[in-house]
Parts: sequence; C-alpha cells; structure tokens
Amino acid sequence: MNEVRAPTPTPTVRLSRMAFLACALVMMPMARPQPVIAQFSTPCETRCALVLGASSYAVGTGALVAWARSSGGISTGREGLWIWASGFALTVGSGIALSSDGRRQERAVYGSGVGVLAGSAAGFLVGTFGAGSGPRPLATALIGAGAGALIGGLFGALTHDGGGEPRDSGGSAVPLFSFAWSR
Amino acid sequence: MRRLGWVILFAGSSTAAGCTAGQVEYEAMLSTPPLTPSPEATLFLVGDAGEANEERSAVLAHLRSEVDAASASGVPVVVAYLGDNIYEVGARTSALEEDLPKLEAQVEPIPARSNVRGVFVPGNHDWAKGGAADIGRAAVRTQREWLGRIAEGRNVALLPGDGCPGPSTLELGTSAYLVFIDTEWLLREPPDECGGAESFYERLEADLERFPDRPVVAMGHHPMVTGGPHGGNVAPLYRGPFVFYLATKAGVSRQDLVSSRYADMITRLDSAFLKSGNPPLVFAAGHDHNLQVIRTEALAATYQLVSGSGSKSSNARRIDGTRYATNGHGYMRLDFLRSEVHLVVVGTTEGESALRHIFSCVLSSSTTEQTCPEARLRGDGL
Repeated sequence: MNEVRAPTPTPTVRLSRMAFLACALVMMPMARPQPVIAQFSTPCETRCALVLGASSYAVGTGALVAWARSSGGISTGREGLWIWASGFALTVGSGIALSSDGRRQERAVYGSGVGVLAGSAAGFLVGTFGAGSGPRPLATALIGAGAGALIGGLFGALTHDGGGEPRDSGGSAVPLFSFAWSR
Repeated sequence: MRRLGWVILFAGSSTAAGCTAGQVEYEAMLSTPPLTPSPEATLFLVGDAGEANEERSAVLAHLRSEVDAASASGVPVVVAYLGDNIYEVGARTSALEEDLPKLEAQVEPIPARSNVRGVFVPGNHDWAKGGAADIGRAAVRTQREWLGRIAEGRNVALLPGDGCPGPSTLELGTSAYLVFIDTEWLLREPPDECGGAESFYERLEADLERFPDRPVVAMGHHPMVTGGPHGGNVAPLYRGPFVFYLATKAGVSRQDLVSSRYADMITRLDSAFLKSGNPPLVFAAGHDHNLQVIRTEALAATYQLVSGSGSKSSNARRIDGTRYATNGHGYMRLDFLRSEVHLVVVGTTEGESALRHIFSCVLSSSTTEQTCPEARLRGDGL
C-alpha cells in the first residue's frame, strides 16, 4: 500500500512564509504603545475576580468528575490535576479575555456565578433520582456546577448588547511587543 | 456588609481547616479467656510494607520474632504481604538499587528452609501506580523475578505473579484454604491474554467450592469495606482546598471504593463468594494504611480485615461492623485451631512505640456462636 505523504512545500512557498513572518515581527514593535488597562477594571473589580475564580474552580472540578465518572475513574493524581487545571485555566482565561469590555466581562462572570448555583442544584436533583445516595448526587451536582458556569458565562457574554456605558478611555489591548517611536 | 462577608469566609475556612479525617479511638482489648497459643496453622497479614522507614523496620522485626515462634512448633505458617510491596511505582529494572532493598527487607523475616512460606500479592503501586497496563504488567513480572532471585532458600512467591488476576490458591496444611486475587487487575481489566474478568469469577467460584469443610481466607490488595481514606474518610483541606475531598467523595479515583469501577468489583467478588456456596470466612486486604477488623452481614465474607499499616499510616473511622481500628503501624495474625479461628492484631497504642498484641478475638468456632465483640471506645470516640 502506498503511503500517502503531505506535499513538501516548494522553495517559493517557504520563502513566502518566511517573508510573512518577518513582516509580522517587524510591524509588531512599530505599533503605537497604549496604556495597559487592568484585567478587571470598572465595573468588574475584585468581587468580580473572586466570582470568576470560584466559577473556574467549579468548571475544573466538574470537568474532573465528568471525566472520571465516564471512564470508571482516574488512575493517577497527575491525570486528575491536568484535567482540573485545564478546566480552571480555560475559564479564567476566558474571563480575562473579555477585559476590553468591562461591562461584558462583568455580565459573563456573574452569569457564570449564577450558573454554578443553578447547575449544582439541578445536578443534585438529577443525581438523587434512581441511585439517590452514595457518590452520585455529589458527582452530578459538581458536573452541573461546572456546566452551569460555562453556560451562564456564555449567556452573559453573548447577551450583552454592547451599549450602555462607554468604553474605558485608552482601553485597547496591548500588542505583544511595544515600545514608543516618538511621543 | 463587606466586613461580615470576610468574617464568614474566615470562620468557614477555620472550621474547614480544623476538620480532620476521623480516627476512632479504641482501648486495647484482648480476648478473655486468653486464646490458646497452640494453633495447627498460622497466617500473618502485612500490608503496604513497601516503604523503607523506621516504622516498617519495627514492624518487620516484631513480625520476625512472631514468625520464628510460630514456626518453632513445625506447623505450617504463611506470611502474606497484601500489596504495595514496593513504593512508589513498583519494581523498576532501571532503579534496582533503590527498589530491590524494599523487597528484600520483607523477605528477611521468612526463615530459609523452613515450614514458613511467604506470599506477596500485587497492589496498585506494584502495577506502576496507575501507569499504562504494559508497564504495570512488566513491573509485576519484574517483582516476581526479583523474589525468585533473592529467595536464597526461602519459599517466597508473588501470587498471582503473571500479571493476571488469578485466583491463586494455597492449602494451609489441612487447616485453611487461602485464595489470592490481584484486585488491581480487576480494577483495570486490561486487554491481555488472561481470559477476561468473567472467566476469573468463574474460576474463583470453582476454587471456593473445593474445600467446603475448611475456613477460607481470600486476600487481595483492595478491601471490600473500609473506614479509611479510600472509603471516603478524608479531611476537607487534605491535599488542597476541597478539590481532593470533593473528588474522593464523588468517586473520581479508581482506587476509592465509591468509584463505579471499584464498586462493580466489590459487587462481582461478593456475588462469586455467594454463588460458590462456600464464602470466605475472612477477606483480608491492605490499601488503606491502618488496621481494621470489621464484621459485616452485608457481604458474603463475614470478616473484613484491613491490614495496611506495614510502613504507612492513615486514619480509620468507625463504620458499621467495626470491631477494632487503629492508625498505628502493625500487622495481623490468624491462628487456625481444630475447631476455631483466632485473630490477633499486633500494633502500637497511644503513647507507646513498641508493638504488642492490642486486640484479639475468636472469629469462628464450631462449638459456640462467635461474633468477635467490639473493643471499648476510649473516651468519646468517633
């Protein structure tokens, strides 16, 4: 059976790719530096950050429990840590990524908080049917909390109409490399 | 309002921090009248002795003295090591100098060219602690090979030692019938040439039916019931803020009794015990690092013994049927007489460092009803 291989880039293609990369690297420092805004600025401040932390905790734990219950159990602590940390980082990163729009960020974060509560309650109720005792109600509550955080956060972010308070002044994202050409 | 929130948070955290995994406190209790010291056969149960430390040295030294005394009369003696014989990840050929001595120390209490036999059962750590199936199987087979290499005239073996679930069986003279199971294999059910789980349970039933007139002791690494950490007895802030606690309670780890895989294994083992018509008198295991004696009507095997504090220690709370439990280091001993089976727990009590007999009872007697009474709780207990 002939082995299928990916086509090798021609020299022209290689040159084009390198030129594109070089242009990008040259242009990035030339962007005008902007003031860095806080990751959690008005109106999403410390309280909002704590809610995001709690929601991220719920997503990480929910993901861990869902993975373990579906596969018969995890085998090592490291495997569990990877799953938990991935869920946690995903949610935290998503919340921070909305930093350019404080109001949207706030809605997303508080939406995820509400989702944690609603999801855990719904999950618990589901878990008490049938088995009713043992680890199942807790497991479904944790999975529900994680799912609720994600759904609530998405809902909060996507239903923000973008109107209302104007953006914070100077609230543009900072380019990867930045230094001032001139003032 | 903000201040109240911080107060609540602080109070909650302090409360959670103060919560520890429960440890029931029993008084030492030896059977009255004293047990007859002339058995026809003796079985020692030592678990999780795969870590080299001072505590293990003390346990193995005391074990050696008891083994020597038991074998002096010429009766058959078996020393069963109930898994996790080499921490952390079993036998590694690449770490021979580090891992082999952990095994050698456990072989040492077994006298050479004697009536004493040593049996090692694989535990989850011996299966490379969660490593891939082929790596785990290789570690088990390496451990079997090492035992053969260091035996030097001693009768020692890893049973089951081929990376399959077993069961392996052994007649303890004419006094008892011993069955050894690789419960880690049962939790993994890896794809291999062992014939699958169904055939294991069929073999188990058939083996149990062989000697209906003898007490059967089944042994594996994983207990069927326990009041220790693997049974959910963990503190809220153990290994991090609530994550480990919640994960344990929700059955995340395959190594915990509440996980679906483990619960299924318990159900199937119990079913096989029941179907055989000759269920074990005792199911002995390690895995939790404590000493527990549990009598339960809920399982086919009447007595559940956890002897897992050969080198490590963890708390054990009182559960339904607990007769005795301690987080101290030690081991257990079963003496088989013509018409009775005696249990002795050897360990340390609070404030003492020397091992001694701390609990004993009659597990079964052909002449009188025996229920192995519960030891007295110390103070309030848990």
